[in-house]
Amino acid sequence: MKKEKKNTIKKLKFILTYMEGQKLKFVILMGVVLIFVGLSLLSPILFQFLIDNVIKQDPITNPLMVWYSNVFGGVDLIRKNLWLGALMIITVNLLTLSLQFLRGKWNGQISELFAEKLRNSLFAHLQHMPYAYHQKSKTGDLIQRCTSDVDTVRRFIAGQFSEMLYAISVTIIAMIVLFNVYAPLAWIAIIALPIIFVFAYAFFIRMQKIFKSSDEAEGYLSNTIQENLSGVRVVKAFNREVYEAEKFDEKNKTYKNLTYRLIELLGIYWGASDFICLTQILVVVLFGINYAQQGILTVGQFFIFISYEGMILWPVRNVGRILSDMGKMLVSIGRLQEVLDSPVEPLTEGVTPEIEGDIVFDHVYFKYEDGEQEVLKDVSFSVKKGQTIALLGPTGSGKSSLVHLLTRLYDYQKGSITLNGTELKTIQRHHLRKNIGIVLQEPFLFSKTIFENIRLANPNANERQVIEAAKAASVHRVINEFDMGYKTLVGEKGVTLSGGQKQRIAIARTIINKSPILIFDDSLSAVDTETDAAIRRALKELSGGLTTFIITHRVATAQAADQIVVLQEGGVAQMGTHDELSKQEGLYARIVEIQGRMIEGEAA
Amino acid sequence: MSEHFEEQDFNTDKLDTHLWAKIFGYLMKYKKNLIFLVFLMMTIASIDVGFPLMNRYAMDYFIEGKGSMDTLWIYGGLYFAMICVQGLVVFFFIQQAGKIEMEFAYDMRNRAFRKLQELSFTYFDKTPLGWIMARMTSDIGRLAEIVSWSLIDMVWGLTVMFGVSIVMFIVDWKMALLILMVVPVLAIISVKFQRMILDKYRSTRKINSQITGAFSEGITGAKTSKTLVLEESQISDFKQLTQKMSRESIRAHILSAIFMPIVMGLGAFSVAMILWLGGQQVLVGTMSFGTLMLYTQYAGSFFEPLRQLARLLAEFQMAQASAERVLTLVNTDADLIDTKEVIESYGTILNPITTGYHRLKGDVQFEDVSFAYKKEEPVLVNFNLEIKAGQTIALVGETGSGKSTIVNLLCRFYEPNSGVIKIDGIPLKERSVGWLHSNLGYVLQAPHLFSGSVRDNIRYGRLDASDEEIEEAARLVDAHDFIMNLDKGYLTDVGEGGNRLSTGQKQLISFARAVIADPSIFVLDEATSSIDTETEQIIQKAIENLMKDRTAFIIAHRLSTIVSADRILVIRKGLIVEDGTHHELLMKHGYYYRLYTNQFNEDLQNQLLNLNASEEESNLAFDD
Repeated sequence: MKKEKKNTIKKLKFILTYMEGQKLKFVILMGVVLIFVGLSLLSPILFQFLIDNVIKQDPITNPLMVWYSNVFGGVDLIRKNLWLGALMIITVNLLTLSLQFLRGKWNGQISELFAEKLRNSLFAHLQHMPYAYHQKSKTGDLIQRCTSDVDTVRRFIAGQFSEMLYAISVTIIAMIVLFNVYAPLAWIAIIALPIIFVFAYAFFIRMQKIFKSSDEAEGYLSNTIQENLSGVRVVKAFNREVYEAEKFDEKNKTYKNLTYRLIELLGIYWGASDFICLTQILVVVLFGINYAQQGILTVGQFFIFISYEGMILWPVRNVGRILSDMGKMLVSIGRLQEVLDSPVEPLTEGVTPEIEGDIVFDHVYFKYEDGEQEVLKDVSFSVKKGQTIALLGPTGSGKSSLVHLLTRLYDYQKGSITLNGTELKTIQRHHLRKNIGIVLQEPFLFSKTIFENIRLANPNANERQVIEAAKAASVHRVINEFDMGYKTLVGEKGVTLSGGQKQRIAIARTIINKSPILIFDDSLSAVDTETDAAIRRALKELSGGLTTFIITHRVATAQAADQIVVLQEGGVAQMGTHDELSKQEGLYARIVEIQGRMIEGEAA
Repeated sequence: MSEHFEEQDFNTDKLDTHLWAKIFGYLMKYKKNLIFLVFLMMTIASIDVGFPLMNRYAMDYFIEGKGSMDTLWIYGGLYFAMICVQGLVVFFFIQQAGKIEMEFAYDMRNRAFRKLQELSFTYFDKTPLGWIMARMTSDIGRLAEIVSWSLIDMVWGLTVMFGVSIVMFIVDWKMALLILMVVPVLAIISVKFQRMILDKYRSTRKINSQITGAFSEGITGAKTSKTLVLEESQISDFKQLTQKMSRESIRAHILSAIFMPIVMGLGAFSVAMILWLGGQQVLVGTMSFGTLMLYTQYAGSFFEPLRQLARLLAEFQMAQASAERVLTLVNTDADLIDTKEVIESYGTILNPITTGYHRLKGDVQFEDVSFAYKKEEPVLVNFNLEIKAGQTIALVGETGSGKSTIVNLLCRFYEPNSGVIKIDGIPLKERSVGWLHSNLGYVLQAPHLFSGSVRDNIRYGRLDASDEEIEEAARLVDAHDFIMNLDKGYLTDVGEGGNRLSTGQKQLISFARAVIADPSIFVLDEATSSIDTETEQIIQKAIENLMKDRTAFIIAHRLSTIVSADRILVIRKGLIVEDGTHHELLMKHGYYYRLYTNQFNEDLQNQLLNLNASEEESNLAFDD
């Protein structure tokens, strides 16, 4: 219970954080709501005055009304010129309505600026989260949080805060007035208030859970669609259309049933609360008639009771809805906090030494945070500036993990890695990544033109530099063959590129930075051997002192390296040049043998 | 391919009645619910008209007229009955509308999803995933909401306005006219404003979808942004978008903030008029006090339905785009349709008659096949090829030479523009796609796994495979060891799209998935490019056995993968330029020879210098 309370406070703090800069406006808005309430409640009193004092000619008892009628020239004058009464009503309404305008406008401003701030910080947070987070995250679910959950919170802030204040203050002020008019009937008039309030609250508790599960079901539903669409080739190739349709139907049905239950519950709530509210009004009407017949209540006072009853009941009933919306909002805030609370990696923390390319691995151990197995075990080797290192090894032997460590996408647990003598863990991540270019195994291209994609990391690059990089990556010719050349759109909304084309564009955008260290995480696998060799040649020409890591399965690629590191089950199994390793008994020699057979056959 | 794709813009000002008729055609399924709903709404509207009448009676009879208290019980009873009906009707109409909304959305989503399963790659090539996602989720959702709930508002609004007008005219036609005078003004203002508001809303929605897109790219591209240090520039791009969004939305808020007071001001105006003119009549005694009260209440009850109707009109106009898009998706013509005869014996994709699914042998013929993804750029022209069952065919050539197209056509992912492809001597078109695919084992370079366990993913190849069979398949492709090394072995969750595994691991699993399907035709499209040589060698040996009596197509850059093929086809610009075994092609000293020697020229030099010890073995390998 206590923990829950703490959570709620944390969630309210969350709202305040993103309201920064608008708190004053918010306070003024609340003031406007209060004045608005006062004016709305004035209308029935005005009516009562017109009915009782003007039309029915009862003596005025309310001192405020005496003053008010004197402003308009006295009751008799008003009676003779009833349009003055009409004018009074219009005046009060004009005032009320202009306040309402302000309320709408400020509600809009506050909520939209709130949403803007929240979206920005979500996006920034996502960008700053570590690689491991994105490796595991569910895209569909994250997008839903960033869009529909933000929207739920925004909508609440847009209307419900001032709505809630309105409901509460209307109730209080109206009750004061009613008790002043005739206390016994006022007591009768509020019988239903606690009932409806408790009912609304119980309902709100119930709703929260169902809303959450319906929301989750919607998430699963869109995830299922997304997965089906991105795996459409597999679905078709395995003739699994029926299976997929059944799987989807199941999710679709779950979502439908859950949401239908939600709506049905809403129906019960609205039906029952309508019943309670209207019954309360009926009770007031009946007792009011009774009191009026006894002469205790004037017609105008009866009118006030009926009008105020409506003005109290509907907002109080609304409190139920607001509470249920608040439930939704709290769930959404919880989901957003899950994202925002997960730790980011400090990108600009650490030293920024000159990075040249001398690298020493010294008894490095690494395992993933949620993993049990050591991915890298006791890895030691050193690299000199300008060298090319080929990393070979079976699938899962830790090659990718090893190069990921170099750019601090992950941090090792034991041992040390030094760059020109500086411990890697102390170097600023941004600095490091600017100086170490890595081409990922499955590169992602943004929905921009090819030109823009290539110069992403170096926005100042001119056309010549972009083309130069594309040429070095052996993709210039391919690009020119597109209708729009470098202006061709790629990514989600653009042309579909082959794996090899994507890899080469990714290589171009990485080498445009001219970083002293370059890593290819098996990023030449989808290009043919000829192109592979051409790219490596071009890189050599482009800059002499480049330190390069290449993860590869090709002996030809390994052969050209200054040093070959063979990994097996996370450890360095063999190390040396091609010549040395070919002569050694071991994995490398076996690979060479397998790949080399044909050459012997040809030579013979 | 998809560069010409443009989102169709259906934004028109006219209400397309034809379109809505079609949508309501889909709703006819719920005819009973609809009729019940209309009945409920009319009931509730009548009650809404009735309550002020009840108040008038109370005022005139009991309070002013000091009527007898005996009838008060009858009055109270009637009032209470109305309340009970109201409560019940409210519950039922929400329930019914919810039912229609959810059933309609469920039905449309299922329809659309099933349609998507039937569409060929041609459709997916040119339609962005995000577009389909939006249709499937938000568009259908919005449409369902509108068709169900707006119907309620419409019936209710019309009935209330109609009922109120009638009662007012009966009671006092002059006062009725006084109130109705404001109605045309109100109607014009409402329609105008609602249009403007929704226009703004529409533009904010557009920006909103850009924001969603940006989030999507920001998340899927996060790893790339990280490695290229793009975080800050991404963030600042995004900030521009959200700023645009808040600016536009605030304008929309202001617009509706102006609109509501105007409407209510008009309401207050007519109430004031009633009080002025009606009050005079009460003073001279020509109108009862209850009647005056009735009119002040009716004046208010007229404006809400009118505002609702104006909103509905605008909403329908806006939802038209959603409706159109959803219908376009549901009614997309599959370009790959089986003939009636085929459907008779094989069923459709979603209702297959699997008893008709016999095993194929594997003879393949291409006869004068031409194909182009884009009209002006033909990939294959009059392509001919004949393959005997059981052969292993390797396709070699540069990117874009047409090798993938050949297997895509064979798999009938696309339909050739002209020419015939035959399997076992019978044209593909005379058999169903489902039958063909059930005989295929297909492994892709960029393998796609589904979120779920390793075991589920392998089982995707054959749904009734036992756990033992799954392990066996994994052993066959040498994936068992690495799977056992995963945290939960075969039960390890591979993540969305297989994200938690490396490409090589994914390829192995997708290989096992194809193996367990026990296909007659294997298609390996760069299937082992990310698998290390040793494992590949193991797989190679295993599948050589496996492929002995199956037809197999292998596309590979790595020549080690293809040397043992029965036939190697060198493809250039859509033509077979060389055709033969590894040995034959080397003797030709043609393109294959160059390709091959290029790949290994560095190897060759070194090998010649260092005369490797594996000479004998290698010679052995080429004797058979």
